[in-house]
Amino acid sequence: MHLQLGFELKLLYFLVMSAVLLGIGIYGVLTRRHLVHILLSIELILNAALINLIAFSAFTTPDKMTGQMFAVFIIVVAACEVGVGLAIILSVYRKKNTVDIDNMNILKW
Amino acid sequence: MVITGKHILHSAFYLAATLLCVAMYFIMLRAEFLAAVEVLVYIGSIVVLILFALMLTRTKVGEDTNISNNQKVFAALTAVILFVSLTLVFSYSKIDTVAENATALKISSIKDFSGILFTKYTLPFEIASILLLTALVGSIVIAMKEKLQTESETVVGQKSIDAGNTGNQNNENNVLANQGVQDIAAIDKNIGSNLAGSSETMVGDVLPDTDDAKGEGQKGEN
Repeated sequence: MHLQLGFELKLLYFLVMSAVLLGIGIYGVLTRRHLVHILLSIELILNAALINLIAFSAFTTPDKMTGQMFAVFIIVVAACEVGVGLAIILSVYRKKNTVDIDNMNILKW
Repeated sequence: MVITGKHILHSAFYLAATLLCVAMYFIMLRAEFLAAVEVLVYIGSIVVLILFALMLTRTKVGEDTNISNNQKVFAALTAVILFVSLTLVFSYSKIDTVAENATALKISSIKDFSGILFTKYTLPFEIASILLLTALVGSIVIAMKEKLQTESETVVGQKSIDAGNTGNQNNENNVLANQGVQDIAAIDKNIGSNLAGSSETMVGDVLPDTDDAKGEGQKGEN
């Protein structure tokens, strides 16, 4: 697609950008210990998926807008996930007085 | 910086900046409505919700030196391998030739968007609304149950203190819980007397003190 930006935008750029976001998010999920921090990293991963969907939608089927519809539903699900996740974090904090994920081992056998 | 920031409030703000950049990408991809939704929903509600939860669970909001566990090397390895392999796949597959076959990118108006959303995607739309409602009720129930439980625990703690039973580990918790109960009682009085006044006391209660934070957190569920 040619935009009036002086250079040509390619689909590859958006895909690489979303891969960068995905990598950062996975690194955050795997390393952080604070529960809210992990939730933030999950938001990054969801945004990588959003960029992917919208980029493919804009470059391949711009008339049908299928990817944009999926993106809307992903945003809805992300909002639900954050709400429920924060409620769980609050209840865990009240129960154990900590949000450190290393202390949550009651399911460990 | 979202994931490397030592201060978690700062990393939440960095997340807001990142989401703003993602919204810019959406505008570049001619998805203006989704950019607006991204700003409104993510920055307007999700980041604010996360900040609110951080205020409620103020354990150690300050600088945290030991924020990451001992999986750093493997996590970095995983992330880098994933990124490199994805990039290689993207660059070796002829994605851009597929994209060139598509028609010229037209500006997606909100009219077209809503037309498709409410004709072809009506059922998913309704299911999404039901999902939102379920998540709302579910999160309230999760938070409420714990609140009732902690109230009963505080009552038990009060009785044990009255009986003179001062265990080593439970003593501090009981004192904290008693102060939380007193906070709740005071706040209930305030709410009964004056709603606006109660909001002022609510602002006043958000002092960096664990007891106040506890009372605040339990009051937030009332």
